Amino acid sequence: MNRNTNPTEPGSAGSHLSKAALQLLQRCRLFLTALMLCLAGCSDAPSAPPPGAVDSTTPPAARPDALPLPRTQAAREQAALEQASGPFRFASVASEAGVEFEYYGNPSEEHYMTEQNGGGVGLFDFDCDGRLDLFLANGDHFDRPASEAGATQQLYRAEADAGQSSQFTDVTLAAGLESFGYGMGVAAGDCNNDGFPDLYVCRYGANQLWLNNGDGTFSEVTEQAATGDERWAASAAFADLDDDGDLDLYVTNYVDYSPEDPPCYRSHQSHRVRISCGPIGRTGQADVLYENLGDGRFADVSSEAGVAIPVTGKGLAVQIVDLDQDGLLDIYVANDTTANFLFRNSGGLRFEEVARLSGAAVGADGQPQSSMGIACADYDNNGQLDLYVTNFSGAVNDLYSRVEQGVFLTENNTAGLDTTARPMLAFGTVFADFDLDRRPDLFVANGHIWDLRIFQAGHLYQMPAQLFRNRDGQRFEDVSAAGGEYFQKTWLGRSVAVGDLDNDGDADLVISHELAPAEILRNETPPVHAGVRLRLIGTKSARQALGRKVTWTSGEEQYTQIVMAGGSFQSTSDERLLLATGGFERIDQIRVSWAPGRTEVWNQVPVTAEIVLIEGSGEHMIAAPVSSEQFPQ
Amino acid sequence: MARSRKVFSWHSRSLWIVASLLAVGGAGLWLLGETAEPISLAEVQQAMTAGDFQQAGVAVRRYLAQHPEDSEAWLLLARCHEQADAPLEAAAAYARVGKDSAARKQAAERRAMVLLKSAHFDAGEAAMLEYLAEYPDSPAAVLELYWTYFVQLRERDCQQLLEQALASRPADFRYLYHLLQGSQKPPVAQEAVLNLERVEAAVPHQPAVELALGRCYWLLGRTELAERYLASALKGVPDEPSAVLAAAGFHLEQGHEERAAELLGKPVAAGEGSTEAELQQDDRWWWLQSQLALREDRLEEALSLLDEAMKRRPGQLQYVQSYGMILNRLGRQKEAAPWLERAGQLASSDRALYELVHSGAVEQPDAGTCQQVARHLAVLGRNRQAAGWRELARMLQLRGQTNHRPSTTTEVASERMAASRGPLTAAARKPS
Repeated sequence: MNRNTNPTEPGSAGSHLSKAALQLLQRCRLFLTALMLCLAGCSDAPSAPPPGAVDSTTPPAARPDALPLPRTQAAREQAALEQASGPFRFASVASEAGVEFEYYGNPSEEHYMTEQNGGGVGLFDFDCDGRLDLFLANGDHFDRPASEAGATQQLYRAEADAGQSSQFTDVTLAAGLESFGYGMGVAAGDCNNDGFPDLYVCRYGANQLWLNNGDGTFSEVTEQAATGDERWAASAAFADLDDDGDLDLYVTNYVDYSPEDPPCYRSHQSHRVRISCGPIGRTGQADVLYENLGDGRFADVSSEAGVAIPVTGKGLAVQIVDLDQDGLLDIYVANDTTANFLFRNSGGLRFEEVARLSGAAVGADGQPQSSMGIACADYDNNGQLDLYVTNFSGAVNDLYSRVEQGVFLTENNTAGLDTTARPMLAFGTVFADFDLDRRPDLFVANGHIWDLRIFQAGHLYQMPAQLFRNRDGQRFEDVSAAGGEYFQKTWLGRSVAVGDLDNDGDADLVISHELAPAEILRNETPPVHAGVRLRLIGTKSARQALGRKVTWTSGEEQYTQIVMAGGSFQSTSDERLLLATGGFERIDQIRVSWAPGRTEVWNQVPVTAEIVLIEGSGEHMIAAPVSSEQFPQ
Repeated sequence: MARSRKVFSWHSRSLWIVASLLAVGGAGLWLLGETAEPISLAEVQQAMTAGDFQQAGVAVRRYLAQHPEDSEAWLLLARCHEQADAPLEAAAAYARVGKDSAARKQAAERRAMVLLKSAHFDAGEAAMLEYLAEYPDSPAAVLELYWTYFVQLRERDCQQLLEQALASRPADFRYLYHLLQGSQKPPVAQEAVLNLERVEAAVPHQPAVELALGRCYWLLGRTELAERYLASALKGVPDEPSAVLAAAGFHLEQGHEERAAELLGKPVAAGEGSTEAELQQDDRWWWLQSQLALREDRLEEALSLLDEAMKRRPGQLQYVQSYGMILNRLGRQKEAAPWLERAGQLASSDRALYELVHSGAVEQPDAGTCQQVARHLAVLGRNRQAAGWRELARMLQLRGQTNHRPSTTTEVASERMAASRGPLTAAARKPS
């Protein structure tokens, strides 16, 4: 496709790369040059690990002498070592941060099916000031329109300095984003490569594409872009699936539903309660793959690409990531009550559905699950990316662990995740290294879709969220109880996004609920190591390296992380990676897979608070600390 | 001297014994004289009809003192005990009804029922199994026991019981319906646990109830309680395969592999009837052994263990899926593919049945629905059930009718739950 139509797109020559980088720096007014900082000796090195924190360059589980031990013994050994890291702690700060948002399309007496999902969360830096901003999709009601209640989707601009508590201001109106409707999933991606992330909102009804004008405002370009699919969309993700340098778009569609459909009930002895209908017996709606044509338009290529599988797909979440390590981005879709999809990218925007044979379609019991959310990370540090998929209550969530043989094994039982997951109805989920011990931990938002308390004793409607510490890359431990006040309460948890909201080097969380305001959880976990943010800027590739894999090495250890493209449930997380590099002055090597056959290596990268790697430059840059003085509103 | 003292002592003891015997004999004669007045069962029945069960009880006891082998009298006494909220005494009385008595069947069934309804699940189950061994074609008893299993989350026992019952009534809609419902609408742990706790409080330390509580708490993620109850159940019935298997499964999930292995033991050439031999007849034992082998990366061994599980329970989706996954893990993807595809077919049929059950289509099925159910059951290897549904379809076609559902799983389960509160709710103890 014609990439030259985009005036801001960088060329491929080295001179053009510098120009592109300069252009970005000027426009964002964000970065200082690495050279300046180095000469000035103004090291922006992360703070030293706190007293008592383990400072080991070799995690115990990965020590060569520890490897041959059987898992159980290794786990026991690890149990003693894990005491070294402090408890996981999160503070609920939404209110004090200025975010007071409650989803409008909450469960109502009418029990419309559209009331189940709640609204999506988007974390992205829309104004390129180095701080993560927050977008929250809003819902609607068939009988009481959101427009009458003034319940619009909302954009909050972050304003705090680095390391300080997050402060947000509602800029929805100023940004031109006021819009009403059944908003659900949120995907942020710079689809025109101008450096400013754009926004796609999944809805029951026509989805919306909002172009970021780069001046703090957005314009709705759904019609021009031809991305206004009118079926019920739940989640979406941007990623360059055809490696042509721009971001394509995958949208999961759910089921056929009309508010006029007969209502659904649950009866029990003399009780009969109305509930929102489930997906059983409803026709699944095929997902959509939009190819970015590079001129502001998208083309629906679902059928040709092989991703339009009607009836069987009732998609609720999508994660785009190179699972088979061939450089091409694959698509994983969580389906509700039907087998999940793994679309293996064959190149040329053609996909083959291989979930069943690769072991990632169904649960360990062979049954398709009611899948809601997806988390992706290399939890066992074997260099292969694993998937965690959340499911309905009564069933366990599935941990699909990828092994060298190129297949997935359902390891949730072995990993100790079954017992506490079974009673929960889980939605959004993310892997994140909350304690920065170089092992991705797990957060899960829970909450039922039906309130059956009237006749089902002990029924959990609101549910506690769960936090699992990755103990040794093999087994997880539920540490929710000590996680803070938020984990003591129960919620109708839905969407979750993760990111370093206060730029202090650790992973914070934003969770949307139903029947309760959205919450921001500031990570106050004592870090084992200090965290460094890593940002990638593509030049030949799409500017945002969504879904791309990064492997970094320090000493003998090697870690694999990905830039999030989709994942969780209806959400967009921070595109920056957090590397737990504390204790090292330099990262020996960072390897970025930009595209098939285009892997770039950076050696001896000094550790700073935020590192920026620009494709093709061979240089790394150091982002300046964020300051409100530097970037006045 | 010493010898004469010994002789005197012997004499005096003998005298005492004789005197005592005379005294007891005299008292006995006096009592006999008092009770010698003959009592007829008609009088007992009269008192019962008048609602005076206390008087009836006294009378029938006197009658039994004279006619200890009278089955009809024991039956009446049992009823009096039932009325007096004395289920154990009632059960004991029902048990005295002679094998040759015409009331034997009724008494045996009632004995089991009275125990079950008064939350004496373990004794009730044993009594009901005895009854069914003697009178296998007893739908009411079969269903009563089914509900007892159901509220204890014993899905496997539910299935075995009804499958066996189908042998004598191959197309009984009640059996077929509950088999299908039970497989697709299993009991809800949150609900079951509250009622089981009440049963446990009323009649403590019944291994079956403790086992059910252990399983419930496990499902609810409350591991400490689960472990406590499972251990207690195991202590009560250390040789009971279901208790051993549940505890082993629990410990395996908690990462206590050594404990799980200890519980499962090693495959041994044990004698017939031993716990080990009984365990090895159970596919779940082989399944858990395979899971244990998997944890220790003994993949080939895990495969052969799974093979054994599948021999004992062919068509079990979980086993087929796991077999394919292990082959995948061994890098034998080509071999794995047909297993995973087979798992896909099984899952598809199971899902279809789930949808049929949840759509309400099997509540009053027509011939077409019965055929549909039969087809999916056949795919799943549940041939006896499939044959039953086919036969049902044939009969419905002949009659041009639809069948009407018995009480639904959930409804009856709740009633059973309520009934199991027997010792706490007087009404529930009243014989029907």
